[in-house]
Amino acid sequence: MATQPNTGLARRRANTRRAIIAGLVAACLVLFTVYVRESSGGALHGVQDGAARVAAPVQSVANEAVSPFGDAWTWMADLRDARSRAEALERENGRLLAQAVEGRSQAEEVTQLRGLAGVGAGLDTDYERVAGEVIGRSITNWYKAARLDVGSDRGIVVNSPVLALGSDGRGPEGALVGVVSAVRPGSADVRFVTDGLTQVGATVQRAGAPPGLLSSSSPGLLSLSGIPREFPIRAGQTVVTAGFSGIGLPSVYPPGLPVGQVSGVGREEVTVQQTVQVTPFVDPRTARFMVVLAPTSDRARRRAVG
Amino acid sequence: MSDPSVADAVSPAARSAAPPGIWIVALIAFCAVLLQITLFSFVRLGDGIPDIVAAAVVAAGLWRGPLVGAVTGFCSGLLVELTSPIDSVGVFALLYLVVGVVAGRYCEREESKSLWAPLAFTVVAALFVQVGFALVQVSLGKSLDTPSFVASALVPSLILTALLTPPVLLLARRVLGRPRIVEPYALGRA
Repeated sequence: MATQPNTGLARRRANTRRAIIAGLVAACLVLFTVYVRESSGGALHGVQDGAARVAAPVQSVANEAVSPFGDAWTWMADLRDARSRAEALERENGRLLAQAVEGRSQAEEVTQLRGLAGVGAGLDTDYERVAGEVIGRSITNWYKAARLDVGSDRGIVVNSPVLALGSDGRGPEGALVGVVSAVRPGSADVRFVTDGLTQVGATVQRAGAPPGLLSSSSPGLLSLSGIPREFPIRAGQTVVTAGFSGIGLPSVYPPGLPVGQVSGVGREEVTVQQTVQVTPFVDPRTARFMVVLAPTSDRARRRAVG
Repeated sequence: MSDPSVADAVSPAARSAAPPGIWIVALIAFCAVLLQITLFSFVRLGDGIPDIVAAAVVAAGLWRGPLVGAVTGFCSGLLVELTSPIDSVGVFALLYLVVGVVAGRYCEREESKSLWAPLAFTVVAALFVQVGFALVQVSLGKSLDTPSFVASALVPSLILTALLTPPVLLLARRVLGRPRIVEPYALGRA
């Protein structure tokens, strides 16, 4: 590689190398333009999908190898707010115990009514629960997403709802954490409810309010919009999926999946609607395992189409 | 933080004559990408994630010149985009490419005797990548809450990058050895 300055050969080499760098810059711009303009079934998306398919087993193995380090970091990070969380959980526990008693009698009533109306339980009959481990996460805050080690070979389709496994004690089992945004054999990408692109038709339990639209607001929090002011909403109430989107169309999420808890209500005199701040039951970024609802019935498959 | 082996700065002519060790650079970059998408994407402070790929690309540029830095940046960025669950192709490739080229320009200068300079370079590179990616996302129509982005994502990212990348830089410096310009990008001025 030794070259002397200011010789013809040196200049040619320098020009060649400049051309290579310029070519790489041009390649980046072309890739970016094509990727943004093409549909999700386009060639570059296909290449990305193929790369993800190849990388998934590698990520799975590498993830196993480094998981003790990841766990150690999560443990240290959790220590910071462990005390305040314990106090909050203690208060929460007392409230939930009272609700549980009330809930049990209501569940019996619902079961009886469902039997009378001939309506199935929904989740148990329409979906198979497929547990998966998180093998990759988005490397940027702009995409709140993760990759699971289960895919289309287990019946998972795009728009399958994804729930928390509930084994880490951070939230109730079955709390909604996201939706499958891409799937292939062996792996599936999950876009979290806290991502800016995710919108969920949701309602506040026992408020009698029509469904609103739940979307990301400030980092880690959600905002439920479209709830009329005449329906009183209190902090602490549970927000669940409505089964419908905000404009009455079927939602990809079946009704009744818990999402989070009301943490604040904003009412402005000039508007007829209120904005409800919602804290998700589960911080999807910390979950190691998730459960995907793979559709098994025609009704659930139609729901996934949206 | 000082590295004894960094002290032996060499002239540009001597650097050009040395063997390049391209495969070592490729191996370091590949391992950095693998660690970034497996371990480091789980390491969070707020919404910040350390940028170990930036450290690998800076190392490639600083100690092997702009062409190696550019190719390493392009390949690393593309690999990250293809294997991470994000809707982006070409953006990280371009940003890391720029980092590699700029870092490569400093390969022609006298090498610093401590690790502070490459570490500062890595943090600035991570800042450039974060801000660059944010600008692209904003140009695509996503909303940016600047104070929140700076406080919860940008600053924690830079802190984690500063804390966790020195071992990568030290390892890269040790296995790559003295700076050797594989490609004399600016021969006429060297």
